[in-house]
Amino acid sequence: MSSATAAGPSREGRLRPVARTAAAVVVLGTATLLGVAGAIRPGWLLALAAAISFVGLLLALLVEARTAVVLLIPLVALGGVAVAFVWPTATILGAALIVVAALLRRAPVHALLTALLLSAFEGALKLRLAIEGAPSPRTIGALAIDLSLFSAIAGLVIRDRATTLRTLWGQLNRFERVALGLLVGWLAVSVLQTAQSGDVVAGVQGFRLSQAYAVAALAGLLIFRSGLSEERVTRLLLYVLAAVSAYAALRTITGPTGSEVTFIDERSGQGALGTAGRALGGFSSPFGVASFLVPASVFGLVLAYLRERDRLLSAFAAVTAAVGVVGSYVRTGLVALAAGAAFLAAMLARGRGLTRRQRLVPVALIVVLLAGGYAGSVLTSDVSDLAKQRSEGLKDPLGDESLNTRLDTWGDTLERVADEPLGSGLGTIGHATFTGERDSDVFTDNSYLKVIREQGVIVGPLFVLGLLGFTGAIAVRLSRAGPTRHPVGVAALAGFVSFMVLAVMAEYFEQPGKVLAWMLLGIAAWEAFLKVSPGENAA
Amino acid sequence: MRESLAELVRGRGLILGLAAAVMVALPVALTLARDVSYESRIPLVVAPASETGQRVSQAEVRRYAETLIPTERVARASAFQASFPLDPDTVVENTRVEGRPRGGVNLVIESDTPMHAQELAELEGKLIEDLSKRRRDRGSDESRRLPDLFKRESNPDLPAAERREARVAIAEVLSRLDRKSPLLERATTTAPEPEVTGSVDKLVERLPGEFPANPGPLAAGVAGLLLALSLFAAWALVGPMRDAASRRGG
Repeated sequence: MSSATAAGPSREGRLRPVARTAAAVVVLGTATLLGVAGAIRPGWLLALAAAISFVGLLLALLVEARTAVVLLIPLVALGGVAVAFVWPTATILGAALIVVAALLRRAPVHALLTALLLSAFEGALKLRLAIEGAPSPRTIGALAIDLSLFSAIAGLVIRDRATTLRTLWGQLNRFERVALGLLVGWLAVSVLQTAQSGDVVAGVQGFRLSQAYAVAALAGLLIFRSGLSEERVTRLLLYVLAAVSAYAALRTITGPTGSEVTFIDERSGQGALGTAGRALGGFSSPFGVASFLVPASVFGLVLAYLRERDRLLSAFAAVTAAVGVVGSYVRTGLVALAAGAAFLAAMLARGRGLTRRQRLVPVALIVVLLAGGYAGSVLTSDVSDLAKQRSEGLKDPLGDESLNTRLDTWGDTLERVADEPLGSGLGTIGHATFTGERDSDVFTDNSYLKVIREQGVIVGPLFVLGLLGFTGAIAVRLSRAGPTRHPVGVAALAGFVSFMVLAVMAEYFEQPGKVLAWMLLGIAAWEAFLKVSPGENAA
Repeated sequence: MRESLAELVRGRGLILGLAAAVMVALPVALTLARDVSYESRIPLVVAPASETGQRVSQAEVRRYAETLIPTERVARASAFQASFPLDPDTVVENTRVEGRPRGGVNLVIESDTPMHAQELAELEGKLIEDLSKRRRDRGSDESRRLPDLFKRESNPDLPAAERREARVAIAEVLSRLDRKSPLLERATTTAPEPEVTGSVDKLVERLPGEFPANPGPLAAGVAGLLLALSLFAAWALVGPMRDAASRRGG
């Protein structure tokens, strides 16, 4: 007899009556709910029963309650079949959530990458849900994607038990701790600022759209510490990026369908440039496409240059993503791609043990990227007047109407910041201000100004300085350790830097690519602070 | 994970295969049993002769209405104003004009649900009426140009070339006015909502929310298959198969 048993009932034994009571309450509650729903409207009985068994299965998978899993699988199968012939996309989303929940504890990297893939098809999923007449298609789509992403991140964090975070903190010098502290402080104060505007719902929505996804950086930090080899994880990530980019490139060639254009224009009016469709890939706007494909392309490009392994796969992801960026007609995307290549050139300029040729190739790459992007835009400029106008903007950026409008908006935003120095509160700028059939006009056209406008001149700079400081600290560490010896870290950091450049021209920290961008920052931090040996840093 | 899946397939291959087949076949069969489209119609009539001074045959009205449907102001505007995602090409494909026994024509709209058909019929009817009125007004605007053109044509002080230009313009305006388009109006502003038919559709109607469209057998089959695969994965990774594999392994 063990000492625990001898001393009294074990922890498991003590919990058993509580678990039984809880189970009885849940069963009774569910039965009552179903009875009421069935009495009001019989059809709801089926829908509610399917939803309850589905949520039950997800919970059972998460806590690995095997008996519950065995009991609930046939119920979900029955309910799922009933739903599949009415709302197949909702069924597919449900199936993806089941896979994520099942993988969460045993293969968290696979769960995370499944969720990332799902987030890169958010637009296609929401459109299909809307076409199939599913109730609240945008909400259901966003909820399923958020649920899969956040639970996958939670899976990694729980598995790690904060060991990595403690190790990371121990590895940081004073400056790096201050930079990270600024970012964590910004996130903590952001929670409080959800109520600042008086509209808590909009505040929470604003937090969900921008700040909440910063936790994806944790996923990047932990993804290589989950038991799989670095090569395996990098290859899996590249597969996901290549799949998303290839689909976007394919859709650049085929063009968006009429339904896609009307679905996007319903909210933003960004679907068409005259008669020319902009590339959407699996996203719900051209900005969404650019937000994901720019960092993906730069990540693939740098890996293809610095790493022999998976060179073809990396190059494929880089090229197809670049095609998608050109097809989206987001001109800042081209600038951000070149900025990513410029960052690589800067990193290599100081790197030790490199030949002159190795240092010069990234510079040539910037020229090729800018020239290729420009040529691509000019070649596609004859599809419509507006497309031509956007190509003209590349020739004469200072005379471009779009840039001048942005400069005016930035000026107005700064005036408003001066009027309201403590900020207007979360959810007062950007997509959270969406109130009706179309987007509102409360935009700043700059992610950093948005944060300062919403969070004020005290909290806003925490984000800007924290981000610049932490990114800079990672760059310094990787540069000292030798960029060619840490290709994954350099590629991830270059991807994040390109996203930061992109964010200068619009509220990109609200767009779907933010998940990938934050993940890349986490990966870069892992490589710089946890993989680099102390000897490398000293050098 | 790989061992669990292998064990799963080895041990219960036949049962699982059958279950997967049912999960694919059932949604496919149910979508095939559902109606694919519903029709709603809205009557269009020509404005009374006293107002327009025109008598137009039913065949001409029908032809004229058919020319309005693919225009930007009808097809594209319908797609953009509809409460559900829609391709402008689908609007054109699913709209037809048929003669009406009591004069005028019926605009017949086919759509994937009764509510969509009704909404589109009302929307397209209104857009066609607006466009027809717009074209008519444009004709009146053109006729207002005539006095000035006549004055220029008969002004001996103007160069011959300019007078000749005015003469050509007069001929063109008169020709266009002669081919003046009829003014189409809706006989009623509300289109009837088609009745839900078929036992499966009647069952679907009882579900919460709007009546959902038939997604088609392919989408339903793929959804059934992916659900089956995800449930098998859950069974293999967390269910009893995991226990059996662990026992054997350890």
